Amino acid sequence: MTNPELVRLARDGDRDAFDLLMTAVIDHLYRIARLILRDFDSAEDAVQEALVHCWRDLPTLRDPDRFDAWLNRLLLHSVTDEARNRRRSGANIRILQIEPSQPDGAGALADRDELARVFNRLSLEHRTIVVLHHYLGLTVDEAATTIGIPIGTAKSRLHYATEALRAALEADARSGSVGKVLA
Amino acid sequence: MTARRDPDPVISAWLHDEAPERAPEHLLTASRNRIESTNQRRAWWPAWRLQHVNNRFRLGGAVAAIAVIVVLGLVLIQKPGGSGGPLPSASPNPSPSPALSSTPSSSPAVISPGQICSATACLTGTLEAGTYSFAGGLIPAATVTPADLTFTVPAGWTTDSGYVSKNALTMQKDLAHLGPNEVFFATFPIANVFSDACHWTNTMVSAGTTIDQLTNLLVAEKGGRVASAPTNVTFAGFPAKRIKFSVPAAVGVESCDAGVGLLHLWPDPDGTSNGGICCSAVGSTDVVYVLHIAGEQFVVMTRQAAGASAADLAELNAIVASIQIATSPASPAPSGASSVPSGASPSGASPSP
Repeated sequence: MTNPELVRLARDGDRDAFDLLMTAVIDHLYRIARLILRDFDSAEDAVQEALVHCWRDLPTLRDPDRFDAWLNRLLLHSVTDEARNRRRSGANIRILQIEPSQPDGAGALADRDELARVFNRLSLEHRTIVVLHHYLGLTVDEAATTIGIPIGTAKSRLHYATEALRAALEADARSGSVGKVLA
Repeated sequence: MTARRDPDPVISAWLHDEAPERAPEHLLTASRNRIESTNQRRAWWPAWRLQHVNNRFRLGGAVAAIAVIVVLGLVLIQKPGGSGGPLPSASPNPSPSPALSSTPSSSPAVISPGQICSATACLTGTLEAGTYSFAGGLIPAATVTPADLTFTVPAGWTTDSGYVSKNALTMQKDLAHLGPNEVFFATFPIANVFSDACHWTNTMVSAGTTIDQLTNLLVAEKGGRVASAPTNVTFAGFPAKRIKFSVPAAVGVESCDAGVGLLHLWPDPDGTSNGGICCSAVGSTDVVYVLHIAGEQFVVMTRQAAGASAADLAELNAIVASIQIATSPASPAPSGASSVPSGASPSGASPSP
Protein backbone atom coordinates (compact mmCIF):
# COMPACT_ATOMS: atom_id res chain seq x y z
CA MET A 1 0.00 0.00 0.00
CA THR A 2 1.25 3.45 -0.88
CA ASN A 3 2.43 5.62 1.98
CA PRO A 4 -0.54 7.83 2.91
CA GLU A 5 1.72 10.59 4.19
CA LEU A 6 3.38 10.77 0.81
CA VAL A 7 -0.05 10.96 -0.77
CA ARG A 8 -1.03 13.80 1.56
CA LEU A 9 2.09 15.76 0.73
CA ALA A 10 1.59 15.24 -2.99
CA ARG A 11 -2.07 16.16 -2.65
CA ASP A 12 -0.98 19.43 -1.11
CA GLY A 13 1.14 20.18 -4.13
CA ASP A 14 4.53 18.77 -3.11
CA ARG A 15 6.06 17.80 -6.44
CA ASP A 16 8.97 15.96 -4.84
CA ALA A 17 6.56 13.79 -2.91
CA PHE A 18 4.66 13.07 -6.09
CA ASP A 19 7.85 12.12 -7.85
CA LEU A 20 8.50 9.55 -5.13
CA LEU A 21 4.95 8.29 -5.46
CA MET A 22 5.24 8.06 -9.20
CA THR A 23 8.50 6.17 -9.00
CA ALA A 24 6.91 3.73 -6.58
CA VAL A 25 3.83 2.99 -8.68
CA ILE A 26 4.96 3.24 -12.27
CA ASP A 27 6.01 -0.40 -12.62
CA HIS A 28 2.70 -1.55 -11.21
CA LEU A 29 0.76 0.68 -13.59
CA TYR A 30 2.81 -0.39 -16.58
CA ARG A 31 2.28 -4.07 -15.86
CA ILE A 32 -1.49 -3.67 -15.72
CA ALA A 33 -1.62 -1.46 -18.81
CA ARG A 34 0.49 -3.83 -20.84
CA LEU A 35 -1.44 -6.88 -19.76
CA ILE A 36 -4.72 -5.28 -20.76
CA LEU A 37 -3.68 -3.40 -23.87
CA ARG A 38 -1.23 -6.02 -25.15
CA ASP A 39 0.82 -3.31 -26.77
CA PHE A 40 4.01 -1.54 -25.70
CA ASP A 41 3.34 1.94 -27.01
CA SER A 42 -0.29 2.10 -25.96
CA ALA A 43 0.60 0.90 -22.49
CA GLU A 44 3.20 3.63 -22.12
CA ASP A 45 0.78 6.30 -23.29
CA ALA A 46 -1.91 5.06 -20.93
CA VAL A 47 0.42 5.09 -17.94
CA GLN A 48 1.63 8.56 -18.76
CA GLU A 49 -1.92 9.86 -19.03
CA ALA A 50 -2.88 8.19 -15.78
CA LEU A 51 0.05 9.76 -13.95
CA VAL A 52 -0.71 13.22 -15.31
CA HIS A 53 -4.33 12.88 -14.25
CA CYS A 54 -3.23 11.56 -10.90
CA TRP A 55 -1.10 14.62 -10.24
CA ARG A 56 -3.70 17.03 -11.56
CA ASP A 57 -6.65 15.53 -9.72
CA LEU A 58 -4.93 14.46 -6.52
CA PRO A 59 -6.37 17.43 -4.57
CA THR A 60 -9.81 15.93 -5.11
CA LEU A 61 -8.87 12.70 -3.35
CA ARG A 62 -10.32 12.94 0.12
CA ASP A 63 -8.93 9.83 1.71
CA PRO A 64 -5.22 9.13 1.10
CA ASP A 65 -5.76 5.55 2.24
CA ARG A 66 -7.80 5.00 -0.90
CA PHE A 67 -5.05 6.22 -3.18
CA ASP A 68 -4.22 2.81 -4.65
CA ALA A 69 -7.80 2.02 -5.65
CA TRP A 70 -8.25 5.53 -7.00
CA LEU A 71 -5.08 5.28 -9.06
CA ASN A 72 -6.16 1.94 -10.49
CA ARG A 73 -9.38 3.57 -11.61
CA LEU A 74 -7.50 6.41 -13.27
CA LEU A 75 -5.33 3.90 -15.06
CA LEU A 76 -8.30 1.91 -16.32
CA HIS A 77 -9.84 5.06 -17.71
CA SER A 78 -6.61 5.90 -19.48
CA VAL A 79 -6.38 2.37 -20.79
CA THR A 80 -9.93 2.60 -22.15
CA ASP A 81 -9.20 5.93 -23.79
CA GLU A 82 -6.01 4.62 -25.28
CA ALA A 83 -7.81 1.63 -26.72
CA ARG A 84 -10.49 3.93 -28.17
CA ASN A 85 -7.91 6.22 -29.70
CA ARG A 86 -6.06 3.25 -31.10
CA ARG A 87 -9.21 1.94 -32.71
CA ARG A 88 -10.04 5.33 -34.16
CA SER A 89 -6.61 5.95 -35.58
CA GLY A 90 -6.26 2.42 -36.85
CA ALA A 91 -2.75 2.51 -35.51
CA ASN A 92 -0.55 -0.46 -36.06
CA ILE A 93 0.26 -2.07 -32.80
CA ARG A 94 3.06 -4.22 -31.67
CA ILE A 95 1.35 -7.20 -30.16
CA LEU A 96 3.33 -8.78 -27.43
CA GLN A 97 5.16 -11.91 -28.33
CA ILE A 98 4.99 -14.86 -26.05
CA GLU A 99 8.29 -15.01 -24.28
CA PRO A 100 8.30 -17.47 -21.43
CA SER A 101 10.42 -16.12 -18.66
CA GLN A 102 11.94 -19.45 -17.76
CA PRO A 103 12.40 -22.92 -19.19
CA ASP A 104 9.20 -24.82 -19.21
CA GLY A 105 7.71 -28.12 -20.16
CA ALA A 106 6.13 -28.48 -23.55
CA GLY A 107 2.64 -28.79 -22.06
CA ALA A 108 2.90 -25.57 -20.10
CA LEU A 109 4.31 -23.81 -23.13
CA ALA A 110 1.36 -24.90 -25.18
CA ASP A 111 -0.97 -23.69 -22.44
CA ARG A 112 0.65 -20.29 -22.50
CA ASP A 113 0.58 -20.09 -26.23
CA GLU A 114 -3.10 -20.91 -26.38
CA LEU A 115 -3.95 -18.66 -23.46
CA ALA A 116 -2.18 -15.77 -25.12
CA ARG A 117 -4.00 -16.32 -28.39
CA VAL A 118 -7.41 -16.40 -26.73
CA PHE A 119 -6.64 -13.61 -24.28
CA ASN A 120 -5.56 -11.32 -27.13
CA ARG A 121 -8.87 -11.96 -28.84
CA LEU A 122 -10.96 -11.07 -25.82
CA SER A 123 -12.49 -7.61 -25.74
CA LEU A 124 -10.82 -4.88 -23.72
CA GLU A 125 -13.56 -5.16 -21.10
CA HIS A 126 -13.02 -8.88 -20.72
CA ARG A 127 -9.24 -8.57 -20.53
CA THR A 128 -9.67 -5.87 -17.91
CA ILE A 129 -11.79 -7.98 -15.60
CA VAL A 130 -9.45 -10.94 -16.03
CA VAL A 131 -6.42 -8.85 -15.10
CA LEU A 132 -8.11 -7.27 -12.11
CA HIS A 133 -9.34 -10.59 -10.78
CA HIS A 134 -6.62 -13.04 -11.73
CA TYR A 135 -3.59 -10.76 -11.65
CA LEU A 136 -4.35 -8.13 -9.03
CA GLY A 137 -6.38 -10.58 -6.99
CA LEU A 138 -9.41 -8.30 -6.61
CA THR A 139 -12.72 -9.86 -5.74
CA VAL A 140 -15.49 -9.47 -8.28
CA ASP A 141 -17.06 -6.80 -6.09
CA GLU A 142 -13.80 -4.91 -5.85
CA ALA A 143 -13.19 -5.22 -9.58
CA ALA A 144 -16.70 -3.95 -10.31
CA THR A 145 -16.12 -0.94 -8.10
CA THR A 146 -12.75 -0.25 -9.67
CA ILE A 147 -14.13 -0.39 -13.19
CA GLY A 148 -17.31 1.40 -12.23
CA ILE A 149 -19.76 -1.25 -13.42
CA PRO A 150 -22.50 -3.17 -11.66
CA ILE A 151 -21.41 -6.33 -9.89
CA GLY A 152 -23.66 -8.42 -12.12
CA THR A 153 -21.92 -7.07 -15.20
CA ALA A 154 -18.52 -7.80 -13.69
CA LYS A 155 -19.57 -11.35 -12.88
CA SER A 156 -20.89 -11.85 -16.36
CA ARG A 157 -17.74 -10.53 -17.98
CA LEU A 158 -15.49 -12.60 -15.78
CA HIS A 159 -17.55 -15.71 -16.42
CA TYR A 160 -17.40 -15.23 -20.16
CA ALA A 161 -13.69 -14.52 -20.21
CA THR A 162 -12.83 -17.37 -17.90
CA GLU A 163 -14.92 -19.78 -19.93
CA ALA A 164 -13.16 -18.67 -23.09
CA LEU A 165 -9.78 -19.21 -21.50
CA ARG A 166 -10.89 -22.52 -20.03
CA ALA A 167 -12.06 -23.63 -23.45
CA ALA A 168 -8.69 -22.70 -24.85
CA LEU A 169 -6.93 -24.82 -22.30
CA GLU A 170 -9.26 -27.74 -22.87
CA ALA A 171 -9.01 -27.50 -26.63
CA ASP A 172 -5.28 -27.47 -26.32
CA ALA A 173 -5.34 -30.46 -24.04
CA ARG A 174 -7.55 -32.38 -26.46
CA SER A 175 -5.81 -31.72 -29.71
CA GLY A 176 -2.71 -29.75 -29.16
CA SER A 177 -3.96 -27.52 -31.91
CA VAL A 178 -4.50 -23.82 -31.61
CA GLY A 179 -6.88 -21.21 -32.88
CA LYS A 180 -10.08 -23.17 -32.51
CA VAL A 181 -11.53 -21.24 -29.66
CA LEU A 182 -13.74 -18.27 -30.22
CA ALA A 183 -13.21 -18.58 -33.92
CA MET B 1 -17.05 -37.85 -18.43
CA THR B 2 -13.93 -35.80 -18.07
CA ALA B 3 -13.69 -33.42 -15.12
CA ARG B 4 -13.46 -29.78 -16.18
CA ARG B 5 -10.10 -28.23 -15.59
CA ASP B 6 -9.99 -25.32 -13.13
CA PRO B 7 -8.39 -22.59 -15.22
CA ASP B 8 -7.92 -20.04 -12.47
CA PRO B 9 -4.44 -21.05 -11.27
CA VAL B 10 -3.20 -21.41 -14.84
CA ILE B 11 -4.57 -18.01 -15.87
CA SER B 12 -3.13 -16.36 -12.81
CA ALA B 13 0.29 -17.93 -13.29
CA TRP B 14 0.27 -17.02 -16.96
CA LEU B 15 -0.58 -13.37 -16.25
CA HIS B 16 2.22 -13.12 -13.73
CA ASP B 17 4.61 -14.56 -16.29
CA GLU B 18 3.36 -12.19 -18.94
CA ALA B 19 3.60 -9.04 -16.83
CA PRO B 20 6.76 -7.08 -17.50
CA GLU B 21 9.19 -6.67 -14.64
CA ARG B 22 9.62 -2.93 -14.93
CA ALA B 23 8.43 0.09 -16.83
CA PRO B 24 10.96 1.44 -19.32
CA GLU B 25 13.12 4.21 -17.95
CA HIS B 26 12.03 6.69 -20.62
CA LEU B 27 8.43 6.36 -19.44
CA LEU B 28 9.31 7.79 -16.05
CA THR B 29 11.26 10.60 -17.68
CA ALA B 30 8.46 11.45 -20.10
CA SER B 31 5.90 11.40 -17.31
CA ARG B 32 8.05 13.71 -15.19
CA ASN B 33 8.33 16.14 -18.07
CA ARG B 34 4.60 16.31 -18.53
CA ILE B 35 3.85 16.65 -14.85
CA GLU B 36 6.33 19.49 -14.53
CA SER B 37 4.13 21.54 -16.83
CA THR B 38 0.84 20.45 -15.27
CA ASN B 39 -0.94 22.27 -12.48
CA GLN B 40 -3.07 20.57 -9.92
CA ARG B 41 -6.80 21.04 -10.07
CA ARG B 42 -8.54 22.79 -7.23
CA ALA B 43 -10.38 20.55 -4.88
CA TRP B 44 -14.04 21.32 -4.47
CA TRP B 45 -13.99 19.68 -1.08
CA PRO B 46 -15.50 21.54 1.83
CA ALA B 47 -12.29 21.65 3.84
CA TRP B 48 -10.79 23.84 1.16
CA ARG B 49 -13.81 26.03 0.89
CA LEU B 50 -14.42 26.37 4.56
CA GLN B 51 -11.13 28.15 4.95
CA HIS B 52 -12.65 30.84 2.81
CA VAL B 53 -15.99 30.87 4.52
CA ASN B 54 -15.04 30.85 8.13
CA ASN B 55 -12.60 33.68 7.91
CA ARG B 56 -14.44 36.62 6.49
CA PHE B 57 -11.48 38.87 6.90
CA ARG B 58 -9.30 36.58 4.85
CA LEU B 59 -11.97 36.29 2.23
CA GLY B 60 -12.46 40.03 2.08
CA GLY B 61 -8.73 40.52 1.87
CA ALA B 62 -8.45 38.00 -0.90
CA VAL B 63 -11.24 39.63 -2.87
CA ALA B 64 -9.68 43.05 -2.41
CA ALA B 65 -6.27 41.73 -3.44
CA ILE B 66 -7.70 40.11 -6.50
CA ALA B 67 -9.56 43.29 -7.40
CA VAL B 68 -6.30 45.23 -7.22
CA ILE B 69 -4.55 42.60 -9.28
CA VAL B 70 -7.31 42.63 -11.88
CA VAL B 71 -6.98 46.39 -12.23
CA LEU B 72 -3.20 46.16 -12.47
CA GLY B 73 -3.53 43.25 -14.82
CA LEU B 74 -5.88 45.15 -17.08
CA VAL B 75 -3.44 48.04 -17.19
CA LEU B 76 -0.33 45.94 -17.69
CA ILE B 77 -1.55 43.02 -19.69
CA GLN B 78 -3.83 44.62 -22.24
CA LYS B 79 -1.90 44.32 -25.41
CA PRO B 80 -2.54 42.74 -28.78
CA GLY B 81 -3.18 39.04 -28.41
CA GLY B 82 -3.50 39.14 -24.64
CA SER B 83 -2.46 35.96 -22.92
CA GLY B 84 -5.29 33.75 -23.99
CA GLY B 85 -3.65 31.90 -26.81
CA PRO B 86 -4.40 28.35 -27.74
CA LEU B 87 -3.96 25.80 -25.04
CA PRO B 88 -1.13 23.35 -25.18
CA SER B 89 -2.14 20.02 -26.55
CA ALA B 90 -1.82 16.80 -24.64
CA SER B 91 1.36 15.94 -26.47
CA PRO B 92 4.03 14.15 -24.46
CA ASN B 93 6.05 17.27 -23.77
CA PRO B 94 3.85 20.34 -23.82
CA SER B 95 5.45 23.69 -23.29
CA PRO B 96 4.60 25.33 -20.02
CA SER B 97 1.99 28.01 -20.48
CA PRO B 98 1.66 30.86 -18.02
CA ALA B 99 -1.99 31.22 -18.96
CA LEU B 100 -2.85 27.65 -18.15
CA SER B 101 -3.69 27.41 -14.53
CA SER B 102 -6.06 25.34 -12.52
CA THR B 103 -4.75 26.47 -9.18
CA PRO B 104 -5.30 29.86 -7.62
CA SER B 105 -3.30 32.41 -9.46
CA SER B 106 -2.21 35.83 -8.28
CA SER B 107 -2.40 37.34 -11.75
CA PRO B 108 -5.69 36.69 -13.50
CA ALA B 109 -5.19 36.73 -17.23
CA VAL B 110 -7.18 38.62 -19.77
CA ILE B 111 -8.18 36.00 -22.28
CA SER B 112 -8.74 36.71 -25.94
CA PRO B 113 -11.33 34.81 -27.96
CA GLY B 114 -10.24 31.26 -28.72
CA GLN B 115 -10.07 27.95 -26.97
CA ILE B 116 -10.30 28.15 -23.20
CA CYS B 117 -10.47 24.45 -22.36
CA SER B 118 -8.37 21.80 -23.98
CA ALA B 119 -9.07 18.14 -23.34
CA THR B 120 -6.97 18.30 -20.21
CA ALA B 121 -6.94 21.82 -18.83
CA CYS B 122 -8.78 25.13 -18.77
CA LEU B 123 -7.68 28.73 -18.68
CA THR B 124 -8.55 31.06 -15.85
CA GLY B 125 -9.13 34.73 -16.37
CA THR B 126 -11.29 37.56 -17.61
CA LEU B 127 -12.85 37.02 -21.00
CA GLU B 128 -12.81 39.67 -23.65
CA ALA B 129 -16.04 39.90 -25.60
CA GLY B 130 -16.02 37.27 -28.32
CA THR B 131 -16.40 33.62 -29.18
CA TYR B 132 -14.71 30.91 -27.16
CA SER B 133 -14.53 27.16 -27.29
CA PHE B 134 -14.13 24.06 -25.18
CA ALA B 135 -12.32 21.24 -26.91
CA GLY B 136 -14.15 17.97 -26.97
CA GLY B 137 -12.54 14.84 -25.72
CA LEU B 138 -13.19 11.48 -24.24
CA ILE B 139 -10.94 11.57 -21.24
CA PRO B 140 -13.47 10.99 -18.51
CA ALA B 141 -11.69 12.78 -15.72
CA ALA B 142 -10.60 15.75 -17.70
CA THR B 143 -12.86 16.87 -20.43
CA VAL B 144 -15.67 19.37 -20.09
CA THR B 145 -17.46 18.27 -23.22
CA PRO B 146 -17.49 15.20 -25.43
CA ALA B 147 -17.56 17.33 -28.59
CA ASP B 148 -16.12 20.74 -29.43
CA LEU B 149 -18.41 23.46 -28.16
CA THR B 150 -18.38 27.19 -28.89
CA PHE B 151 -20.20 30.12 -27.33
CA THR B 152 -20.09 33.88 -27.43
CA VAL B 153 -19.83 36.16 -24.41
CA PRO B 154 -20.13 39.92 -23.98
CA ALA B 155 -17.58 41.82 -21.93
CA GLY B 156 -17.51 41.37 -18.17
CA TRP B 157 -17.44 37.60 -17.89
CA THR B 158 -14.77 35.41 -16.37
CA THR B 159 -13.81 31.77 -16.63
CA ASP B 160 -12.22 29.16 -14.43
CA SER B 161 -12.16 25.38 -14.74
CA GLY B 162 -14.65 25.52 -17.56
CA TYR B 163 -17.14 27.66 -15.63
CA VAL B 164 -18.16 30.86 -17.37
CA SER B 165 -19.38 33.33 -14.78
CA LYS B 166 -20.43 36.86 -14.12
CA ASN B 167 -20.13 38.38 -10.66
CA ALA B 168 -18.31 35.35 -9.29
CA LEU B 169 -17.33 35.68 -5.68
CA THR B 170 -13.69 35.50 -6.67
CA MET B 171 -11.87 35.18 -9.93
CA GLN B 172 -10.89 31.69 -8.90
CA LYS B 173 -14.40 30.48 -8.67
CA ASP B 174 -15.42 29.29 -5.25
CA LEU B 175 -17.69 26.48 -6.25
CA ALA B 176 -19.21 26.19 -2.83
CA HIS B 177 -20.35 29.72 -2.53
CA LEU B 178 -22.24 31.44 -5.20
CA GLY B 179 -21.77 35.18 -5.30
CA PRO B 180 -24.95 36.91 -4.15
CA ASN B 181 -25.76 38.09 -7.67
CA GLU B 182 -23.73 35.60 -9.65
CA VAL B 183 -24.73 33.77 -12.80
CA PHE B 184 -22.75 31.09 -14.60
CA PHE B 185 -22.92 28.23 -17.04
CA ALA B 186 -20.86 25.08 -17.21
CA THR B 187 -20.89 21.82 -19.10
CA PHE B 188 -20.47 18.30 -17.81
CA PRO B 189 -20.10 14.92 -19.44
CA ILE B 190 -21.87 12.64 -17.00
CA ALA B 191 -21.24 8.96 -16.44
CA ASN B 192 -22.81 8.75 -12.99
CA VAL B 193 -25.15 10.71 -10.78
CA PHE B 194 -25.97 10.52 -7.11
CA SER B 195 -29.39 9.25 -6.21
CA ASP B 196 -29.21 11.45 -3.12
CA ALA B 197 -27.48 14.82 -3.44
CA CYS B 198 -27.37 15.32 0.30
CA HIS B 199 -26.37 11.91 1.61
CA TRP B 200 -24.50 11.13 -1.57
CA THR B 201 -21.93 8.72 -0.18
CA ASN B 202 -22.40 5.32 -1.81
CA THR B 203 -25.36 6.52 -3.86
CA MET B 204 -23.58 6.82 -7.18
CA VAL B 205 -25.55 5.22 -9.99
CA SER B 206 -24.97 5.00 -13.71
CA ALA B 207 -26.27 7.96 -15.68
CA GLY B 208 -27.75 5.60 -18.24
CA THR B 209 -27.47 5.85 -21.97
CA THR B 210 -30.46 7.93 -22.98
CA ILE B 211 -31.64 11.45 -22.37
CA ASP B 212 -34.76 10.17 -20.67
CA GLN B 213 -32.79 7.97 -18.30
CA LEU B 214 -30.53 10.77 -17.14
CA THR B 215 -33.45 13.19 -16.94
CA ASN B 216 -35.40 10.81 -14.74
CA LEU B 217 -32.39 10.26 -12.49
CA LEU B 218 -31.86 13.99 -12.02
CA VAL B 219 -35.50 14.68 -11.34
CA ALA B 220 -35.63 11.83 -8.84
CA GLU B 221 -32.42 12.86 -7.10
CA LYS B 222 -33.10 13.30 -3.42
CA GLY B 223 -31.62 16.07 -1.37
CA GLY B 224 -34.18 18.82 -1.29
CA ARG B 225 -33.99 20.55 -4.65
CA VAL B 226 -37.33 21.05 -6.31
CA ALA B 227 -37.41 19.96 -9.95
CA SER B 228 -39.77 21.27 -12.57
CA ALA B 229 -41.43 18.90 -14.97
CA PRO B 230 -38.89 18.18 -17.73
CA THR B 231 -39.71 19.73 -21.06
CA ASN B 232 -38.61 18.74 -24.53
CA VAL B 233 -36.44 21.33 -26.19
CA THR B 234 -33.96 21.53 -28.99
CA PHE B 235 -30.60 22.67 -27.78
CA ALA B 236 -27.96 23.73 -30.30
CA GLY B 237 -29.82 21.61 -32.79
CA PHE B 238 -29.94 18.54 -30.56
CA PRO B 239 -32.92 17.02 -28.82
CA ALA B 240 -32.71 17.75 -25.13
CA LYS B 241 -34.68 17.88 -21.92
CA ARG B 242 -34.82 21.02 -19.85
CA ILE B 243 -35.25 20.83 -16.09
CA LYS B 244 -35.34 23.74 -13.68
CA PHE B 245 -34.21 23.17 -10.12
CA SER B 246 -34.74 25.48 -7.21
CA VAL B 247 -33.52 25.27 -3.65
CA PRO B 248 -36.18 26.39 -1.20
CA ALA B 249 -35.12 28.00 2.03
CA ALA B 250 -36.64 25.14 3.96
CA VAL B 251 -34.08 22.70 2.65
CA GLY B 252 -31.93 21.67 5.57
CA VAL B 253 -28.55 20.74 4.24
CA GLU B 254 -26.59 20.96 7.48
CA SER B 255 -26.58 17.21 7.92
CA CYS B 256 -25.48 16.39 4.39
CA ASP B 257 -22.39 14.32 3.79
CA ALA B 258 -19.13 16.15 4.39
CA GLY B 259 -20.89 17.93 7.19
CA VAL B 260 -20.98 21.43 5.87
CA GLY B 261 -24.35 21.74 4.28
CA LEU B 262 -23.73 21.12 0.64
CA LEU B 263 -25.61 19.29 -2.05
CA HIS B 264 -23.43 17.29 -4.43
CA LEU B 265 -25.34 16.75 -7.64
CA TRP B 266 -23.09 14.52 -9.72
CA PRO B 267 -19.42 13.50 -9.74
CA ASP B 268 -16.75 13.74 -12.37
CA PRO B 269 -17.25 11.05 -14.97
CA ASP B 270 -14.18 9.13 -13.88
CA GLY B 271 -15.83 6.47 -11.77
CA THR B 272 -14.92 8.14 -8.49
CA SER B 273 -17.26 10.20 -6.35
CA ASN B 274 -15.04 13.26 -6.61
CA GLY B 275 -15.51 16.52 -8.40
CA GLY B 276 -18.51 17.24 -10.53
CA ILE B 277 -20.85 19.94 -9.37
CA CYS B 278 -22.10 20.68 -5.95
CA CYS B 279 -23.34 23.35 -3.76
CA SER B 280 -26.75 24.51 -4.88
CA ALA B 281 -27.36 27.44 -2.56
CA VAL B 282 -30.68 28.23 -0.96
CA GLY B 283 -32.50 30.65 -3.24
CA SER B 284 -30.46 29.73 -6.28
CA THR B 285 -31.88 28.29 -9.46
CA ASP B 286 -30.26 25.76 -11.76
CA VAL B 287 -31.42 25.07 -15.27
CA VAL B 288 -30.14 21.82 -16.69
CA TYR B 289 -30.24 20.79 -20.33
CA VAL B 290 -29.79 17.06 -20.70
CA LEU B 291 -28.29 15.94 -24.00
CA HIS B 292 -26.68 12.88 -25.50
CA ILE B 293 -23.69 13.94 -27.57
CA ALA B 294 -21.12 11.78 -29.33
CA GLY B 295 -22.28 8.75 -27.42
CA GLU B 296 -21.94 10.45 -24.04
CA GLN B 297 -24.48 11.70 -21.55
CA PHE B 298 -23.96 15.43 -21.42
CA VAL B 299 -25.36 18.35 -19.47
CA VAL B 300 -25.26 22.09 -19.97
CA MET B 301 -26.14 23.82 -16.76
CA THR B 302 -26.82 27.39 -15.74
CA ARG B 303 -27.01 28.64 -12.19
CA GLN B 304 -28.26 31.97 -10.96
CA ALA B 305 -28.05 33.35 -7.48
CA ALA B 306 -31.10 34.77 -5.81
CA GLY B 307 -29.86 38.31 -6.43
CA ALA B 308 -28.96 37.93 -10.07
CA SER B 309 -30.04 40.96 -12.11
CA ALA B 310 -32.33 40.80 -15.12
CA ALA B 311 -29.57 42.23 -17.27
CA ASP B 312 -27.12 39.51 -16.24
CA LEU B 313 -29.75 36.85 -16.79
CA ALA B 314 -30.35 38.20 -20.26
CA GLU B 315 -26.64 37.94 -20.97
CA LEU B 316 -26.58 34.41 -19.62
CA ASN B 317 -29.52 33.49 -21.85
CA ALA B 318 -27.78 34.95 -24.85
CA ILE B 319 -24.57 33.07 -24.10
CA VAL B 320 -26.36 29.76 -23.71
CA ALA B 321 -28.36 30.44 -26.85
CA SER B 322 -25.12 30.99 -28.74
CA ILE B 323 -23.76 27.55 -27.90
CA GLN B 324 -22.90 25.43 -30.88
CA ILE B 325 -21.76 21.85 -30.70
CA ALA B 326 -19.47 20.54 -33.39
CA THR B 327 -20.99 17.19 -34.08
CA SER B 328 -23.83 16.19 -36.28
CA PRO B 329 -27.28 16.37 -34.70
CA ALA B 330 -28.33 14.01 -37.46
CA SER B 331 -26.60 11.10 -35.76
CA PRO B 332 -29.10 8.60 -34.41
CA ALA B 333 -30.44 9.59 -31.03
CA PRO B 334 -30.42 6.89 -28.41
CA SER B 335 -33.69 5.26 -27.57
CA GLY B 336 -35.60 7.35 -25.15
CA ALA B 337 -34.41 10.53 -26.76
CA SER B 338 -35.88 9.81 -30.13
CA SER B 339 -39.31 10.84 -28.97
CA VAL B 340 -38.15 14.37 -28.35
CA PRO B 341 -39.52 16.38 -31.23
CA SER B 342 -36.96 18.47 -32.99
CA GLY B 343 -37.84 22.10 -32.98
CA ALA B 344 -39.87 21.97 -29.81
CA SER B 345 -38.29 25.28 -29.04
CA PRO B 346 -35.96 27.52 -30.99
CA SER B 347 -32.59 25.90 -31.48
CA GLY B 348 -30.94 26.93 -28.30
CA ALA B 349 -32.32 30.35 -29.00
CA SER B 350 -34.31 30.84 -25.89
CA PRO B 351 -33.26 28.38 -23.26
CA SER B 352 -34.22 30.73 -20.50
CA PRO B 353 -32.63 29.99 -17.16
